Amino acid sequence: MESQRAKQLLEKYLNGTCSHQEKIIFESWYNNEVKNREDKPGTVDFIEQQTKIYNRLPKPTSTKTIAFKWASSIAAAIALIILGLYFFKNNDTVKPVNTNTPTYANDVAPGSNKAVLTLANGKTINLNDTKSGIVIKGSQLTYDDGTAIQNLNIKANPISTITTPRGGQYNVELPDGTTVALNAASTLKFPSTFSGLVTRTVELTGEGYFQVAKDKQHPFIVKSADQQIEVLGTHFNVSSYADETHIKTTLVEGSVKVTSNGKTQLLKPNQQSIATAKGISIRDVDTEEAIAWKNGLFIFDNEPLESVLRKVARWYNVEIVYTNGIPNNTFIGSVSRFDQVSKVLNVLESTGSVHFKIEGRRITVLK
Amino acid sequence: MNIHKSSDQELMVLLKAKDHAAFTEIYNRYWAILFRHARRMLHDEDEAADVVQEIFTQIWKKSADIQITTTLSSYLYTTVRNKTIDMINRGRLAKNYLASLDSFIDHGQYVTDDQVRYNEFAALIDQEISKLPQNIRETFQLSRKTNLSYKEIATEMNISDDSVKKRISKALKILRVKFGASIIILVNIFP
Repeated sequence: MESQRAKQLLEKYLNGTCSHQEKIIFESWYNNEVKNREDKPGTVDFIEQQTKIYNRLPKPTSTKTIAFKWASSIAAAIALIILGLYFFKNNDTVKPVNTNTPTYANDVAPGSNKAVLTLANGKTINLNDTKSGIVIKGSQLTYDDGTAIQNLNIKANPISTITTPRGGQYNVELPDGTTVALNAASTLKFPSTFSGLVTRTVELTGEGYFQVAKDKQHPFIVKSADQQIEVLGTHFNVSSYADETHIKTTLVEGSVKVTSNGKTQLLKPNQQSIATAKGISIRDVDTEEAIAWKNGLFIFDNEPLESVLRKVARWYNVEIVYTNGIPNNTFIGSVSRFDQVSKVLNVLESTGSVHFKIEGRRITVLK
Repeated sequence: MNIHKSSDQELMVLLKAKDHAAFTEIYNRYWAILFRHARRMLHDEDEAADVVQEIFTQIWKKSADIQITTTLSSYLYTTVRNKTIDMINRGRLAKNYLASLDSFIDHGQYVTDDQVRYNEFAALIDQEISKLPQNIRETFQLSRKTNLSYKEIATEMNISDDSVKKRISKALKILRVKFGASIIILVNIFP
């Protein structure tokens, strides 16, 4: 007699509606059957059979080669990574990834040198986007190639802030010789001169990479939201965007003291502090990732998609829209910041986990 | 790039991009072992050929949905199992198999660990290799060159998932230095 429960189990298995326990039973049984079945003695002509079945399979639908180079490079990269897990050997099979596959209706250019200077009297000056930075020396304010900025006497008109918009970046050299590279959507507030002040204090929102000039008599202080960083002379990166839940301070060299909500921690080189409302934690990091933006790269090290796209949004000045919830994938890798947005999205898409649509300055994340 | 020297991982990426040469290479590597498995279970050459045809028709049609995070062999092995069961269900052996399943529900030994059970299954399929003609066996063995999954590597090297991730970061860094930017991989490898 045919068993109803066996029939039901088999059909549930085929439909994918089995419980975990039923799956265990069914697959255990199947393994058992494979062991017990005797194979029919082989009289097959394998070569003939191979051709026969192959001829019944679908043929290529079009003759165009689809991104072969791109796919093979990615494949080679993945293969290398897997090999790399062993001993980083055999890596001569890898080719650079070619992402020249335009698959979007429109595109968005990367950010560039853009910033606005605000004076103490409220007046604003749009800085030249063919220059990369400004230098303040004594009462002189110039671009970093020495050319003058309008007719500005900063003694009479003290500077208050420099602000980069979304899609902008700019460098500032402060009167003490300290340089600050500002990432997109960032503001640095600083005095026109430090002379006569006990500390050199600036305020940052957004992200900046600081190379602080040594002056033991006058500590350099960076304030961001609830956090304060005190340094004597050192290189570090601070990321304190309002749309991130924490302030990250990454020390490249020297030493800094980070204070947040009354708690203080000392950072050593290659350490990063993460300050949240709850406190400060410290971890060892590869500083290359934190300062990648300064070197024209996005570097992601197990970074969630949402965080990846916040960076994309700030640098390309685009809006990100999620249609189907936020995928919880994380990404490892790097891509240039100076390509069109499509290239960055293409590389993310190549993982097969997300898809994007670009309309104007809006990027829709399709699952 | 020589398709015959590609690893399974590479072939999967190419297949995902609808590369027909990669599809053919996958077919040439795997059809025989899948055919033998189906024939062992179905005792019928034509039905076994149908199973193989269905598997490869499906992977070509659904190539865009293939997840690179699974290995090609585990994808094909689970597919051949499903297609074979479906064929059994529709065919003349249904009665015989269902009686065996019914008795197994009461008296069988279950393997509760999913990984152990899958490994046992994969090993049973792999046993077919020894019965293949020499030239077909050699083609198949190409697939065994570099297709270890991250999980398998983690197990084999006796290291944690986390440390595999770290090693991937490191490998990518070397890639980056060598070839510039533009390499990204997905790391939802340990769901």
